[in-house]
Amino acid sequence: MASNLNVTELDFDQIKQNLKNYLKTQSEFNDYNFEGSGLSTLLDVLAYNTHYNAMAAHFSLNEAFLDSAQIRGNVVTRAKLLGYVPRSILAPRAKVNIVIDVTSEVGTLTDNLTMNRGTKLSTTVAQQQYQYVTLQTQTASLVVNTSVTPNTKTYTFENVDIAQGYYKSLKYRVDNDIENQKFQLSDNDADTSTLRVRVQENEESTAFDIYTRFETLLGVDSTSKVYYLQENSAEYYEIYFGDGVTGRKPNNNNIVTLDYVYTEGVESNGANAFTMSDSVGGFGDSTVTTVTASGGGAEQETAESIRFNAPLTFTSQNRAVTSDDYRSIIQREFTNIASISCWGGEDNDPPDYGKAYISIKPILAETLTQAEKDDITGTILKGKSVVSITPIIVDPNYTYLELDVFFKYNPNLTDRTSVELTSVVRDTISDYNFNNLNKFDGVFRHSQLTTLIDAADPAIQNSTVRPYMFMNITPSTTEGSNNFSLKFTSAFYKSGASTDFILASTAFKLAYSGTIDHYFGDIPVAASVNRQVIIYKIVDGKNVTVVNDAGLIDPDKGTITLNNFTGYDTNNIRVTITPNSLDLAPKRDQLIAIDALRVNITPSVDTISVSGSTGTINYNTPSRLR
Amino acid sequence: MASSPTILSDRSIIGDLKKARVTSRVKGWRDLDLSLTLHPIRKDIMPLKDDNAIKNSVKNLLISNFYERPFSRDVGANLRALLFEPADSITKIALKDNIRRVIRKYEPRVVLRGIQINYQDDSNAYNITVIFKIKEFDTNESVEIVLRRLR
Repeated sequence: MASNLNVTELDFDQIKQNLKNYLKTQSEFNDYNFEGSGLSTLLDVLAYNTHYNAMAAHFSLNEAFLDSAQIRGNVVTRAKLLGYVPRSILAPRAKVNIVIDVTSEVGTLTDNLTMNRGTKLSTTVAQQQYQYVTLQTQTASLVVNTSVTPNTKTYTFENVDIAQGYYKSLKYRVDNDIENQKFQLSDNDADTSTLRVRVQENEESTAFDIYTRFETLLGVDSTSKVYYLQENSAEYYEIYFGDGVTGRKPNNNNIVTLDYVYTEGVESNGANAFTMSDSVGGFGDSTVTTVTASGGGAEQETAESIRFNAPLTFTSQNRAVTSDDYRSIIQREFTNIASISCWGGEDNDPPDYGKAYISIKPILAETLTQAEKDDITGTILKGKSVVSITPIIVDPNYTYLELDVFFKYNPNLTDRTSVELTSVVRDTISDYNFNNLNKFDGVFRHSQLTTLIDAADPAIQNSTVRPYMFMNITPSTTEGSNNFSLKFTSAFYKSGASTDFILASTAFKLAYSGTIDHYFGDIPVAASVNRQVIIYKIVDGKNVTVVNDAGLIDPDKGTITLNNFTGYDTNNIRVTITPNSLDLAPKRDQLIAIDALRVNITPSVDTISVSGSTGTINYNTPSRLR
Repeated sequence: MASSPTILSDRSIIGDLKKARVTSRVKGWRDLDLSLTLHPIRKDIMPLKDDNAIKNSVKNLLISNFYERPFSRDVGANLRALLFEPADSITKIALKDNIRRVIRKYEPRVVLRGIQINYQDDSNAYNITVIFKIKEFDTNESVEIVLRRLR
């Protein structure tokens, strides 16, 4: 029998039982065991109260730690202690050229036309209309084209950055009587990367000081015009200024103007046709051409993502030192990334000391635009990378795969025809390509693919996949300027002294022989695993070598050099090579992708499955090589 | 030497051990009165005792509804749930079932003797009388409740 009240329990029932145990030690009341009694009601209240307090203590303690906090505001506050500002929603951005046609205007036209930040455009994605706005104020000159009659007059704004959303401008008055005055953005879907902070002396003054976002303490003093950005507990972003020591402190009655774009985020990614909604300088006849389709829109960073990223960022201290630092910094601040690979120059081939290599596969395109590369090296990595280390962005190097697929099927186990089965297998391969390849860590695992093909339909008994690697080259028609160095992901098949080709190509024409089709082939080099590239044509069904020395194949390194030929035209030539292994793994900037057009599928009936041992006579198996 | 007085106790068997006598004390019940009325002189709350305590407990069960007690959703007769049912025999059976269930489950000190339900047409109310026997005292008691909507 408990003589003291036990206080270790946290659950309602256990707390109530403890109270009952305590009541057993007295004789004043003894009806506590019956649910109908008044005493039981009192115990309910006491136990509920204790339980409630225990839960409140439990919750509040959870909210005190980054790992266990559930309320976003608290996760953000814990992350703030690590110096981490969660990424806001990002508006999809596009780049367009805008031509204002003023040919039909009468009267004097100014030499320059200005288009303000916030000028509206519109686009439609999936039958839904979206508004875009310009991000910069831009000026264009009047161009009069006198070569046509009547003369055309246009203003052309080139490479205008536009972002999806609505432009908003807020004004606040600085009141230094308020300690730590904060200026809140009134939309929780504001894209903070579009935020512009300007301070003017008073309402009448026309001059603005532009403040930039605080990134690093380095060089920040009492006159630095920086603002600090944070997300508050109400999930709105707010800014505040320096205290006069670390960053300039605005004076009383200064006017702070915040302008930004608030957006619907990812929804209009991919938009590529825009029209003007606003007129520019009163001129409404406009043509918009898309330079870069819309992309990069992203949702606001989730609480789980903050939980994951905040300690990582703290670990790297916002410094790009290791290759993983580069990866995490770029991934945090640049969204148009489907896959990213970073490696040090010492790991490059050939080694290139003092460089950090970055390769990015964007979400929509195959390579980044120059502007995006400049943004990464110039803005995102600037001030973060180690002195004397230069970041280099290289385009991903695609090795495409051509697949020969053979499968045997038992027609008694399916309603599908061989054509339908072929289609199922093609879809399976396409899914495999989408889910597993096209990224820097996407390995072509042969057995995984054959397993998927075998499982694609119960009728499929077994399958064989022969992968070949290929790249496309564009020959030059200028003599002596064709010098290709192709680097594939994997080593090539070593055929020894065999005269069978491991290299193949599509037909192409040589400058001096006109319309005759030529092909690449290869011959062994004595006492070496390397093979020499030849160019041949087919005469009367026989190969006739035209160029005996058109390059070199190094099977170990996986490289092919092609030279000593001149193209008749600049049509692409597809160069196909047999890999040494059935599994193919990318390195550094390499990406592997299956070319859906080059998947050759050959179904055949499995005669043994159908008719047992009598089927063995006609049972054929595919060769390992072509 | 005078013989020692016989002490009636549930713990002691005294006297001649060959002539054992087993006695028992009628156990008293004491419960908190939730009306918390003060004793006029002692200025302390007055506990409910014995049959009053048990009657009070039965009454409390009858007026309790499901989900009223924290973490014990099915304590109570849940009679309010039947208030808006048609005033017919089926509802009466349901009322009786509910009362029977709650008393059997949560009040082991009594045996249910009968339930009388009268429908008051004029006031739109049920008059419910629950008659039960308190096992320990072997007395018949009854609790009467009026079930009506507030307005």
